Amino acid sequence: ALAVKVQFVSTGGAPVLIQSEFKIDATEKFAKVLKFLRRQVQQDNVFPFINQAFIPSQDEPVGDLYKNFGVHGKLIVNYAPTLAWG
Amino acid sequence: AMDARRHVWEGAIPISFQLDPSEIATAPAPLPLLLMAARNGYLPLLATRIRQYFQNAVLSSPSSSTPSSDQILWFDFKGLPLKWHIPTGVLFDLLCLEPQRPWDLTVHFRGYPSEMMAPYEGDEAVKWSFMNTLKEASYIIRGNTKNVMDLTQNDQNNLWSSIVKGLRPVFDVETISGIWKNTIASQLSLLVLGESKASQVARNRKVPLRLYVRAVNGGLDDPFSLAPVKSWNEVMILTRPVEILRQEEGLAFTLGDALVKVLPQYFGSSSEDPEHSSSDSRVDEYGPGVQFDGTVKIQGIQPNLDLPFDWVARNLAGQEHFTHVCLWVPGK
Repeated sequence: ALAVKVQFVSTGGAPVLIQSEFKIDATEKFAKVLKFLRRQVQQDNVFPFINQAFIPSQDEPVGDLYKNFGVHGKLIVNYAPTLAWG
Repeated sequence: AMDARRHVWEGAIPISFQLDPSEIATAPAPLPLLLMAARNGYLPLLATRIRQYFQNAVLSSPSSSTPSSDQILWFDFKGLPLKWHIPTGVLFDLLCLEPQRPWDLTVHFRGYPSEMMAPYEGDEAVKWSFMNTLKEASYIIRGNTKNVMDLTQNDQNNLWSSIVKGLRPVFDVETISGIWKNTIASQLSLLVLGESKASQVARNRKVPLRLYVRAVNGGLDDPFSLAPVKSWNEVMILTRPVEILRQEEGLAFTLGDALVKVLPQYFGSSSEDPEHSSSDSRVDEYGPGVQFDGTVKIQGIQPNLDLPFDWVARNLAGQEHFTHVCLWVPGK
């Protein structure tokens, strides 16, 4: 299956990841990305924004997000410690 | 066209809510609660009224001391938990090919399926989900979310309260005045422009489209005998922006053209395939331009695929500016 390269970018004081790029199956839902991110930063209170712009529904396939909003061959996911940021 | 828009925004579905029999504590069992639900609203927005109606009849949680007022309500249709972030009308169109009136839903106070869908905490969470979908639509239409971000708290509240009340959005071109002219109505999209203006727009533009595709085994000849959806795995939910391409003089980019573009596996262009003349009368229902032997529904309507896509997007889009299209396609 196709894989999507996801890059996590810390914003607003959220913990920074040493490794920030991961690959995920294009058919997976965004919920899986969020779960993975929260495990990586070891916090439940991080909120993911696509291109610093919006939080997608957990149902959206990662492949769709990449196709619609991907930049330079990656899906950029900014993550912030609060919702106020969005 | 104004009329079509008003019908869409004020569309409602009669729903009969029945308490899950295993949660009933009183005899006789409470009667179902009948409510009109806005097509473009969300089921949790009815939770307060439903909770009030059933709270004296519901068993309190056996193991915990959680009062019923703290429990998160959820709903199922024939065993399928309903995802609360999908507009009510879309759920109805998708799950009832042959519309059931009233729509029989079961209410649960216990056992929220949090593995399957994110719990919501009050109307704020629903509003938050709505605002983010609006931002996503804005990003597709304009390439940024500035216009949504620039809304004042007051503007946001006005927008949201029109959805809670099931009214036409306050940014509708007919109702805008003052600040709205300068904010969301003019900024958010070309979708809310009047027809004459929209046709003057020179550049190609993108329309946010969300597709709910359901493969049906054994054909669609008898919609009453269709098996209900048992799991959300049976529905493909796709976000596919469609660019409205400028056509030659006198030709419109149609709904069919849009669907051929995003789902070429199900829609064929008949002009490219002249000898494939199907005897199935279903094909003709959708007009001559496009080959399709399934069913399409938008806002409860089975649209002709020859409708200009621009018209569809401007008149049948939801309040978050996504056009939600339900599709039943014959299974392999």
